[in-house]
Formats: sequence, C-alpha cells, structure tokens
Amino acid sequence: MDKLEHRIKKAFESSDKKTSFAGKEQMWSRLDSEMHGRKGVAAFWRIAAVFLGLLLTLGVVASLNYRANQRAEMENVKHDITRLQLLVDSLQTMPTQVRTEVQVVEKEKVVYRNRVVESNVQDETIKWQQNYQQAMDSMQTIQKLNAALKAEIETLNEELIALKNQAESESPEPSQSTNPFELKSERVELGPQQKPDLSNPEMELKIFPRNFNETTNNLNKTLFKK
Amino acid sequence: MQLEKLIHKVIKGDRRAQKLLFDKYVDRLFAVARRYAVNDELAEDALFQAFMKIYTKLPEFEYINEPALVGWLTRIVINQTLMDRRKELSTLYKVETLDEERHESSWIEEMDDGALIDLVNELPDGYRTVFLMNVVDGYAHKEIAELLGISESTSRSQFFKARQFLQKKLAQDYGQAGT
Repeated sequence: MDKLEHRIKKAFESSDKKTSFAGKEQMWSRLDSEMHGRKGVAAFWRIAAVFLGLLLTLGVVASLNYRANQRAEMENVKHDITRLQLLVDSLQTMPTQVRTEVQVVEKEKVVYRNRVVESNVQDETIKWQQNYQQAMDSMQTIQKLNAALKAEIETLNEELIALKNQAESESPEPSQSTNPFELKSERVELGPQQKPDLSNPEMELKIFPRNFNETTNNLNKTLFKK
Repeated sequence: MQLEKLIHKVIKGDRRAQKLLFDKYVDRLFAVARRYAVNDELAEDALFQAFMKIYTKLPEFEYINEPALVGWLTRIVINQTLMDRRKELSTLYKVETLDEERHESSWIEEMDDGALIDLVNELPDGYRTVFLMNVVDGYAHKEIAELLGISESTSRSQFFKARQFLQKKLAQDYGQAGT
C-alpha cells in the first residue's frame, strides 16, 4: 500500500506541475486592484497625517508668534509706564502749589471753593522790591521831618537865646548859671494856711463873681468863663 | 532574480515583484486548491483569499530555500480551501476505528498518473481530503485533525477507509489489489 501512496503522491505532483490556471490574469487584476485599493486608502491616510502635521506645525508657529507679539507689547507698555512715572516724578519736583481754601457759608450751607494760587518767585521779588522802595520813601520822609525838626530846634534855641539875653538885660543881677531852669535844692517851710488877703476887689470879682450861688464848684467854668 | 530578493521586494510592496511571485506559483497553488475544493470556482475563490494572506503574511516568513517557501504557500492555500469547507467536512466524519491492513503490489508502479488521480478522485469527499492531506501534502493526522476540526482517531480511520476503498476499486478494475 505504501507503494500506491507513493505513486499517488508522484502522480499529483506531476499533475500539479502540468496544471495551468486559465484565470491567472483576471485573478491578478483582482488582487492588484484589491491591494492597490488598500494602498490608496493608506495613501489617503498618509496625506491626511501630513496635512494634520502641517496644521499642527502652523498652529505652533502661530502661537509662538502671538506670544512674541504679546511680549513686545508688554515691553512697550512697561516703557510707557516708566516714561509716565518719570513725568509724574518731574511734576512732583516742581514748585509747590499753595492751595487756598475759602469757606463760604450761605444759609447754613457750606460751600467750598478751591482756588489754586501758584506761588511765583518773581512776584515775591517784586513784592520785596516794593516794600524796600516804600521803606526807602519812609526813610526819606523821616529824614526830611528830622531836618525840619532840627531847624525848628535851632530857631527855638535862637529865640531862647534872644529871650535869655533880653532877660539878662532886664535883670539887675545876672545869674551865675547859664541854665535858666536850674533847680536848686531848697527847703521851703510853709506856715499854716491863711485866708488870702484880697486887697483888690476886682480880682475878687473875677474869681468869685457876684451872686455866686452854685453849690458845685466847677473850676473850669469859673476859670475860663469871661 | 533570486527568490530571496524577490520576496524582499514583495515585502517592500514592489508591484512588479508581487506579479512575478504570483506568476511563478499560481498554477501549482491552483492545483492544490482544486485538489481540496469541491469545484474550480471555489478553488479560485480560495486561491484568491490565499494570495491575499500570502502577501500580508510574507514579512513573517523566514526564507530558507524554495521547497520551504513552496511548502509554506501550499499550506496557506490548503488551510484557506479547507476553512471554507470545515463545517461541511466535519459532518462527514464519524468516530470509527479500523484495523490497519497492509497490502503491497508491484504493478502500481506501472499505473498511469491520470488513472491514479482519477482513482483518488473517486474517493468519498471525507476520505479523499484526509488521504490527500496525509499522502500528497504530508500532513500528520494531528495536523489534519486540527485543520478539519475532528479528532486524530477520526482522521486515522478516514485515512484507512480511503485505503480500503482504493484497494477495492483496484481489485474491481484491475483484479490485482492486495497482491
């Protein structure tokens, strides 16, 4: 039986070698289209993957650019902030402002008015100059007045000398001292007060007019009444 | 072109190489498919599916020599052909045990190839498949059992029944069986 099997095997092998498949080309076209179709699908996915990768890359580049722009903008803003800070500092170092607050009360209602007066060094200088000028003018006036007073004193002295001379010429005993108002320490002892002796009746009349009936003694009235 | 380079190109997806490989083995593989298929149409379908598998699984194949490649291709074609018939074949087999009988004859050597093939083709389908797998394509009964979804003992019994059938046929036609 082994021989039979061996023969059968040989027969089939030789038969296989002789076999020719008629639908060879048709089958190949089927296979080719099947595999080509698969390749087409693969190619589509490959293209899609490349496209997606490109999109991703573009997205990354765009985000990086956006970030760079934002940074540049931030730098500009910081620069502006610094510039404004410097401006504020320079303004703060300017001459101080004086704020005058005026409070006005109108019918129990408080109204504030703020008035800003800028202090000016030039105005201060002018004010000082004006004051100085005024002081100088006052000084001149005082000097003039002083000169006038001196002149008057001289005139009075001259008059005094003239009167003194006149007095000297009239008095028998010339005074030893040159000062007419020289005070001397002299003790005077007064005796008890006596009733004045009115020898002259006219004098009595002048001082105490007739019919003097007033109870109050008004000296002013008495003395200056003519 | 060397076969190994051809395979390498096929693996790389070279269309021309794929066509060369197809042309080189399609006839032989079609014969294998037709051996196990019910008809040529089913054999063609099985062959088509088998070639799709060949092109897909070729990167897994480790090339040694051409007989190894032919064996690998043949097995793929047989598996594909039998896969389509597995349900049908599994119902054909019954668990049977037979005593092995050995008959030798010297006249077998002188028989015509066509007559032998026709003789085998007269076998019932279940017997024929197991017989061809074992005798022509060299499958062991264990492998046959796995591929056909039957037990190993069934494969053996089917094989011996096929033998008995052939002996009877030879005795009838030629009157020389068992001599």
